Amino acid sequence: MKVYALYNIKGGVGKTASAVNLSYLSALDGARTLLWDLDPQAAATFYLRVRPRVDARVKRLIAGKVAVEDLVRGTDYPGLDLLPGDFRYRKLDRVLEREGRPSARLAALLQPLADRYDRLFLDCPPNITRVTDAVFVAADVLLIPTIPTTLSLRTLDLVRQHLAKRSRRPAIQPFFTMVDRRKKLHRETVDHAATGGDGFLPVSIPYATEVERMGVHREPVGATTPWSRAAVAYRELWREIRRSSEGDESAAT
Amino acid sequence: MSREVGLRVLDGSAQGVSEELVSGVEWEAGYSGAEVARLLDTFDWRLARSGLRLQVLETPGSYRLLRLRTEEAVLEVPWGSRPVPGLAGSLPEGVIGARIAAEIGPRRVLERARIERAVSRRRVLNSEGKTVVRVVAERDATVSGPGTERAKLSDIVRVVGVTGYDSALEDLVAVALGLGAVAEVADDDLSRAIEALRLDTSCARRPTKELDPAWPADRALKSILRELLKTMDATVAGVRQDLDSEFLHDFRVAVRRTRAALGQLKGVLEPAAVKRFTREFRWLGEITGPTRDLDVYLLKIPAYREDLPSAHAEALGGLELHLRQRQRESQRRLAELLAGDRYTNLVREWRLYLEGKPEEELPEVGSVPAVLEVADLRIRKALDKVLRDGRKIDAATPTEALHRLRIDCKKLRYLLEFFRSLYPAKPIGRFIRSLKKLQDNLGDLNDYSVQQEQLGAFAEEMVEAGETTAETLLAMGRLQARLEEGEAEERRRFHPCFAEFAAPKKLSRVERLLHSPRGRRR
Repeated sequence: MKVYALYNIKGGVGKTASAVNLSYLSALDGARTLLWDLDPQAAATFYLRVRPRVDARVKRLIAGKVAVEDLVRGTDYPGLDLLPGDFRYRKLDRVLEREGRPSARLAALLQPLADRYDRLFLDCPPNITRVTDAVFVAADVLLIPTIPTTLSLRTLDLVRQHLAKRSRRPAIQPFFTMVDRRKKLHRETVDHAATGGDGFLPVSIPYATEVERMGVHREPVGATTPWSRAAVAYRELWREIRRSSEGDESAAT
Repeated sequence: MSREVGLRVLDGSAQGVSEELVSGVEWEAGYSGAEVARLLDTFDWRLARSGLRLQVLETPGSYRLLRLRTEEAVLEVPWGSRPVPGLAGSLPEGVIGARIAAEIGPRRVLERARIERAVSRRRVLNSEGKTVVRVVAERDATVSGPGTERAKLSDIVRVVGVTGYDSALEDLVAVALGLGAVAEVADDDLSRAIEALRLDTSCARRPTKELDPAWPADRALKSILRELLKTMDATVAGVRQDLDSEFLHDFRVAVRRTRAALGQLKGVLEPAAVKRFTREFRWLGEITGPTRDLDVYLLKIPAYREDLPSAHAEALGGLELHLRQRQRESQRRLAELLAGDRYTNLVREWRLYLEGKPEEELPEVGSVPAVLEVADLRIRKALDKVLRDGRKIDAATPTEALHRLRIDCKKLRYLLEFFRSLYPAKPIGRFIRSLKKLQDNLGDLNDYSVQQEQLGAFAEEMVEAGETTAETLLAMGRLQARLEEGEAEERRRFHPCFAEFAAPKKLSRVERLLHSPRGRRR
């Protein structure tokens, strides 16, 4: 099971929209895919029309008293399942802290999923916490949606520095989101990154109404407006991610 | 995980029942129109026998799905315009493909039946607008299989659950049953097709004929040989088309068993016939050998790759390519021979010989030795030979002697299986299992030795044809060394294996089996 984590220290960068759209595309490849909404805001859960209710089971989940499979919900799309988010995930940090060895706890939770899913997408909360630290250990690839501004690039550096100290760290794959070609700064930043060695994926997600309207339609953009700019961009992005992370030259079409 | 419940419509139409089911709840109409379900399984129903159901679902101009139903869940993947899966390599990557591959092994998935029907799909939504359960009305369904008549199927309503929303499914099923117009049916598409087309999915690979101990030996023997001919008939088309390597394997096993029966039972059948058919079946063994050897080699390539360091593993690609070319040529020749006069005549005459004599012309009971007497005697002789020759083998014995012992073990095994129904089930089963362990050791030993020889020959062919690289040859060298190690390892294991097989306690049990008086409890 390949584990992708969608993460940025900053919020509001199009992380959840990316998690939903990429996991949807992963399922379209025919891969059994699970999206775990770890963000207490539970926006991915909302997008997929699932009620954000894990009850008081977060603690019991971490303690290994409730099976992670029992919380899984089928989405409306074949091959895509969801582990719903919950406001109580804000306490996840404390629970992990108390139980000790956060990375091992998370790894133990993921273990039974490995036989059932080909890919796991983690929609992570922002900031650097116990939870995200554990995610950094569990993930194979850290996908970092980034708005093309100076400040955003600075936070990306912070993540790199934070991870540089670790012996086991995921591959880092930043990509630009909410790109507005009308803005000079956006254009310059994206074009500069294309020539620099920052490892940005060569596909950017445009600033687009369709993505904003995901909150209204509550569906991936590929399901509502498959030929919109954003939907096409996500398909191309996913193909690039597959090529660089799974070495798949044929990649999804 | 998600569940599915089938409801047979007893009163009214599927359409009417499903409309009634969703009245009063929020729902949305989905696809309505024609649908084709191609039901897939291997020739020997490996998926069905493991509780798996595989199908490609097609609706013209709409969607195409590969659908796997396991005991726990229904898994679907979009299948686009991809061809219907065949061998393991054509399955989707990942968990679904792995689950199927684990069951089918080298076999090809084939279309075993096809259901054509009209469907109307409905999705029941909760207050979030999320699908929580699906209702599918299926009507005017017909089913057909390769070479079968088309049969009609009854109308059903299918209630399909969504993972995590079990109560929605249960509620709907309870409502449906409450309507009184439906009855829950446990069967799925495949079960319905099997029932309607009367397909035989038992597919015992080695049919053991129930024999009567008092039967004259020739009559018993002919009935065994007829079973083997049935296997040949059932598999020869798959061999000619090279559907998968198992067809040839099963065909060859049936040929070898036939030869063993002819050779072991010389005194029982007419000598002239035995002589002639022995010659013809030997020919059949010879012409099928080369393709089978290449099949075996190709099947082992993935394991060899695992064994070698990654650079060498990649370079084995050159060998694989060569083997595939050779296999294709050899297969083409084989297909021609099996479509030719000699095979056609052999099968026709053999069938006439086995079935020709009407029942009443068969010799009277008592005029020929009874089958039990022959079985006891032949098994004892074959066992004695295995023991005598096996005990002579030491570290200095040449490989050929082990090869001969392997053949003798095979003969013994075939005899035991032919006559298995004449002996008490448990002890004969135990003895066969014990022999099988020894055979596994001798078989592996032989494979390693034969493959080394062949590898040398392949290298020469590839160099002569100028189609190889230094990397490939080096990788083959590494493989050669690996095969040598394997052979040495199996050779070391031979003595413990043989000692276990020939343990006095075990042998005395077999003795008792063969000495037991006639007319025993079966």
